[in-house]
Amino acid sequence: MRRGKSITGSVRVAVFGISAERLINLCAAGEIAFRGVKTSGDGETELTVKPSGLRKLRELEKRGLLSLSVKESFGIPYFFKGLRRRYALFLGLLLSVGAVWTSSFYIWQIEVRGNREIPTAVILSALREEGVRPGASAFSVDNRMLENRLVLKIPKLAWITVNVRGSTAWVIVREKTDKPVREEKSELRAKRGGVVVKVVVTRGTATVQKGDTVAEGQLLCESFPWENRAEARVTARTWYELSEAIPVSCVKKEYTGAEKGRTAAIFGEKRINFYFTGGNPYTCCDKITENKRLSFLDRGLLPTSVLRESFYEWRPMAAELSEREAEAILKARLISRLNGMIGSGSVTDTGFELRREDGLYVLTLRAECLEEIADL
Amino acid sequence: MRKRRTVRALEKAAEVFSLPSEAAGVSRVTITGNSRAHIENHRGLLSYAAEEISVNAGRLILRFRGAGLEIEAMSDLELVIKGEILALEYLT
Repeated sequence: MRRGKSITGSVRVAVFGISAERLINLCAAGEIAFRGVKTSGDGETELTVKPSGLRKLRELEKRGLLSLSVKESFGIPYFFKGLRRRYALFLGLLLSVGAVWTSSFYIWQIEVRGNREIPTAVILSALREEGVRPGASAFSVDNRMLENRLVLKIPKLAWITVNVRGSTAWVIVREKTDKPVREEKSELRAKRGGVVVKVVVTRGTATVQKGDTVAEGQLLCESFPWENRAEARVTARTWYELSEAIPVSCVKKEYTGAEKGRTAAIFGEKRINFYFTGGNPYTCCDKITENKRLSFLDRGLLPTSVLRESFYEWRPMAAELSEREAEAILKARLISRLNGMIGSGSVTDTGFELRREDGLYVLTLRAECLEEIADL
Repeated sequence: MRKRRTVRALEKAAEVFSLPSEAAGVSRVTITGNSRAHIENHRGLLSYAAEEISVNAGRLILRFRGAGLEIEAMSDLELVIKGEILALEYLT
């Protein structure tokens, strides 16, 4: 049976004492919308009507034209009718809706956007001192006052605004930008030694040329006193030899398979633990915390979250690193170090050498690079 | 008898003035495939069963024969029959 019209509700009725065609004609004349007409041999006709149609059929029944019985009723109106006498459920529903509605007048989450140098924690702490914290009334936020006070409190802050949408306060921050300090240099010197492969001078006079070997600190370009500063790009081939070491013996985690979980609920700033023993349940363990915030109809987050902590026990085991493992770890460290040293330059050739000495794996990287060596 | 004459006169008038017959109250039957029939200007149902539905169309009686026939929607003027329509008879 089709169960459409669940919002307005519909009723399946059985009608007796009237032929199907007469019933249908009466329905059409009385503007009773119906569907799913089924007849049976014993003069019973079944059809589905809306609640308003049922009322009209009841009137026809009172006039003695037919007799009917409701076989099934479905849809939201009948669902609530069924719950009519369940007062506690209704009360709970009303209380829940009321709680959600009331909580939407309070700030339960603060999101800070636009800060680069000022840590979010600093802004949140300053906001808290000014009364903008989880649990504060959404109507208590006075933007102008807040901006004036916070700009005085945090010197690097240029502008701040707090927009409260639902239960979330969106804090938009702009930081002051320092005026760039121009360092007037009349000389450019090499920050690293190498063989010059390209010289492009935009201001001043070059003191080296392509093919020259330069040492660290050597003068590359100089400007006359009436010129602002020397500007040049000097690309050179450079060589590096870097080493990293790692102990051969190490401690590895061996998971025992034992695990424990515990749950807590957080209402606003209050935490309710659903367990009795605090601290870590194992001496050595990994702890994974999962925080699920509850939201209501995508309108905002509720001030409630469920915290699930899982603990996985492990035993420390003395182990020895294999050459392959050590090489992979050291290689990653060396490449990261080299990239940090050459900046925007490129690595043209590399060679690695691994050796074991005094309980250590030592990896040496020899690299050839192309980079800017002018110390701007 | 007088009513029937009036209807006929109206039909004639519609023909003379090139008006659609529906304007004179003549029933219009639209059958889509063999699963749906739409009847306009009907005068009510005469019989209803899953195998046969008879509709009063004024001067005529429309008898739909088929299987699983049922009334999908019905108002004072319009009627929709759905199901497997195998035949339509016009009875005078």
